[in-house]
Amino acid sequence: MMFGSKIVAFAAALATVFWLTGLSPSKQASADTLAARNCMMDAIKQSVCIYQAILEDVDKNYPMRGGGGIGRIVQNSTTSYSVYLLQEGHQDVRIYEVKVAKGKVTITSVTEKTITH
Amino acid sequence: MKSKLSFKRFDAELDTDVCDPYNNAELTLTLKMGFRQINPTGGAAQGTYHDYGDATEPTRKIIKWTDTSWKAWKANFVQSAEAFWHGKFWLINDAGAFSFTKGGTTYYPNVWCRFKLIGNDAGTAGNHHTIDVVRLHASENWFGSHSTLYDSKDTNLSRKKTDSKGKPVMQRAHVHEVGHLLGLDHVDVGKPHCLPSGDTNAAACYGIADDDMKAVMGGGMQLRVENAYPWREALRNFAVADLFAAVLNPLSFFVSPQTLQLPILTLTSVWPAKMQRHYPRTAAEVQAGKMITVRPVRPA
Repeated sequence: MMFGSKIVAFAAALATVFWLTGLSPSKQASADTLAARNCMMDAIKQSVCIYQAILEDVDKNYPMRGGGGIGRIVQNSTTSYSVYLLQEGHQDVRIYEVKVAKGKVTITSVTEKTITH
Repeated sequence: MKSKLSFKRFDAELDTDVCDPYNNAELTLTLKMGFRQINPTGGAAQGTYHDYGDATEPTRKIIKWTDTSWKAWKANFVQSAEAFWHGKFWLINDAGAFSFTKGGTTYYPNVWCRFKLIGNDAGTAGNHHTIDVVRLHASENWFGSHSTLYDSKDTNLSRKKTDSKGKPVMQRAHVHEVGHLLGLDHVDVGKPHCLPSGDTNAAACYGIADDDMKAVMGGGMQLRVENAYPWREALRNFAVADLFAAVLNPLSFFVSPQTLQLPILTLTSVWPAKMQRHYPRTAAEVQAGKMITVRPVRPA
């Protein structure tokens, strides 16, 4: 009984610390870990994770900042997605190969092609 | 003497009558563009049009052209594109061409590169290029245009790229497009990341290094000496035409070899381009490799 009340007291103290500091176990986790957890939940969450990873890569690595932006993203296969970026006279297409393992999304390759109009 | 040649892309006129100790020969490229209105269907005031004119692409809101807006847009297009490309290059005479004597001194003029843009309606005969134009609704900032389909905002300055310091690289799309109509490729074509055998419209072809992306044939507005290519090619064609005429009429050539306005050497000469006025040179100045960029004092 004494031992049980100590556990309760410790848990209460821990909860108080989290509450006071604004920290929580999930908030402390890195974005990747957080995404990995969510990605494991269901198919929709997993798709959202994949699209987020792709969008972040486009934002970070695609140099043509003008034009019409992202026209569409199409899933080519379970692990392949194409991002269509609208530009004057052409569209740049970035093709992403992704791997989903243990809920963690990894971009394994990015290739580019151009559609000229 | 004035000579004219017609090419698929433009017409060219070489004028040596204007040469004197201070003025160079003039090579004028004339581009005739025929513009055609794209209006909402059924005579409506507003409608939509697909990017690139492709029914599988997103639509943008368009509005009907009025006579006033059409004339104003065409005038702005022609005036601003012509001003951008006109009179920016001088081709240095390394061929000994167009020599003339004045006051006992022989001069070798350079070639000033001029540009004339004529904006017709599409039905006019003799246009080199026909371009469809949509008038974008005020709420639209972008439309998927291409080489024969423009939008009313293509004359506006807009962001194309971002340089390595995070600064926007801005361009007025129509001056870039006119560069293509003159025969210019994207700035990085020929580099390992943009081989001519591949798709030269790929993002990398618009320039990777800051300087390249700021070029007019990249994503910016800066002219480069290599953009004088259409004038140099036209000049080379005048040399070929001149030689061809001499071959067809050899008698006149042997009677007076000076009838070859552009000597055979012109075929292999470089005609290096400069972006600053270079005055005609004397034979001694040519031999010394001297460039005259400040108005010289010449004997009357």
